[in-house]
Amino acid sequence: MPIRFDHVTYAYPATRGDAQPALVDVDLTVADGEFLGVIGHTGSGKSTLIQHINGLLLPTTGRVTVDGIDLVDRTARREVRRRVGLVFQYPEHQLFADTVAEDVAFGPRALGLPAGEIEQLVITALERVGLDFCEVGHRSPFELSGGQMRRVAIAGVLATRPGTLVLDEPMAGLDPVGRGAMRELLRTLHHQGLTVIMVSHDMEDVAALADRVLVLRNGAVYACGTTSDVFSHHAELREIGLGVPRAALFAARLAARGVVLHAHPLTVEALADAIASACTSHREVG
Amino acid sequence: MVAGADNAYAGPAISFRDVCFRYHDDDQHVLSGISFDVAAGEHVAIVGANGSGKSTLAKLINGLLVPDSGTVTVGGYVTNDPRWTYRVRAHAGLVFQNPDDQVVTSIVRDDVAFGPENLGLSPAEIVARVEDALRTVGMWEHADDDVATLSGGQRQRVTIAGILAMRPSVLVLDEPGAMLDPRGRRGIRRVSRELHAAGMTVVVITQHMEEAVLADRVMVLDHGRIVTIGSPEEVFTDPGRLRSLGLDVPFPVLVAEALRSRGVDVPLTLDEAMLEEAICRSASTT
Repeated sequence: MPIRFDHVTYAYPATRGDAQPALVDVDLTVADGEFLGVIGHTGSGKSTLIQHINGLLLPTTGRVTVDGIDLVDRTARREVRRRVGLVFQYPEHQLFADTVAEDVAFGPRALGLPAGEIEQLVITALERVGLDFCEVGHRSPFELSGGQMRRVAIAGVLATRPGTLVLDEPMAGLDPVGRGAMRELLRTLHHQGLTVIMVSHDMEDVAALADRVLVLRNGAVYACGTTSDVFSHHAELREIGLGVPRAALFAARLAARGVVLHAHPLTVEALADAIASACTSHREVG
Repeated sequence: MVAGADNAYAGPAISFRDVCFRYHDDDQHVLSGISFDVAAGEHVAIVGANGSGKSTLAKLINGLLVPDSGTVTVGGYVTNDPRWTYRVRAHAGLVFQNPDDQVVTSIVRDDVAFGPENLGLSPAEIVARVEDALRTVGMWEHADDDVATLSGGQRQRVTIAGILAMRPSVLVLDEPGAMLDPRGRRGIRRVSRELHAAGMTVVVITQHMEEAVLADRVMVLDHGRIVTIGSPEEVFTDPGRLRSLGLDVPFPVLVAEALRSRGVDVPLTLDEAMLEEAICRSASTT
């Protein structure tokens, strides 16, 4: 289910006129099964971009298509919203039902599916986010921990079986344990074949998860490429106020001191592998 | 003690003695057996996983909550004596996680003036304090802006200015960076470093290691009890223990741990330069 942004420009109605549009001529393709990280400053257009993917916002000029379906078409938009699950920031704030099962069932029920099928979808969706239906299904979502509540919210989006999951800062506000578990969950969902688009300001999360990275600046595409390619441009990213994964910075510092690694590590594990191999190979040569 | 504490008071800025607290009589204690002192001018970080009791402890420092048993003394004033409530609040300013919980008016300078106005100061004194506080947090140029037009980090700094304008001797920051992007967090770190350098006692409650490692001392809470107090170097260089407490392991310690497991002998340290040095030696010796 490729997602196409064809020269999309978007100006919020209130700012129309001489003000800067929120998106400027964005051209982008997201392939099936890809994990795309979207980074950029607060105000760079990240949230505006993802709201275009399921038609919550429509381009002022240009076109967004999902699987070839143009989102301008109102009936088609409904189908696209089933295929693209959008998880907002702090999605647990949108939980509302008396029980976890009811909350997760909301999406499938809105599609008018038969009761038996809905229950199966709810069980599966909870299972996918690592929660047991028998254990938490009957409980109030508000009794759960913050990390669990967020999982319930994601299960609610997965319940309609979308092929693409779009998440806006899924780790925000989680503690280290919750963050680690969320990384694991997103990695698993991606391996199960979901296309994932994740907005994040945490470069470590992006480096650990994404295949490709889109950098937005003032609403325009500043860079788009493989994760290792984008994060190799330290100076440019710094200049626009973004970070670089710490492993990449550390590798650059070692290189400046003559320890050149034969890889471009973005994670601690990759960095340790590269350093260990530099140490051993030197020993062999020596 | 210490009913008549005054300017000559030379004891600890904050003192907890065997403090226990629970929100409802039939609940478990959120905090139990908490004893520690914070010296005047000290910078202390309090860390712990979600639910460890950190935020409750913050509210006990400025008398927003009072202990069920034990005593909390701030600037020599016992917090559970209603006669001293105002003295306690004047001594210890508390900044919450979400600036929007603390913003009271729409224009920046009015918001900062709100606290001093309630202290019954002269108009000239209030104006002077507002300017001083806004300059301290680097927001003076925004004095006449609408709070709603500011970024999260800027709003958080305005909130801090509002507290500073009351001239407290202790500043308590409850997860000041939790809802901010990296740039916003850097701004808050700079402000808290400068205040500490200027002699203020700073207590920061945080889950971000980059905030915690700046402190003179780190206190670790786990299930309502203090499990460790020590220098950042002592607390943060035991990765196994940090994980069992649900805390993040700092980057240089992660790298050192990963290298050790690959047979490269480097020290477990927070000091990246020291780690870099050890790696350079390993890679150049045979």
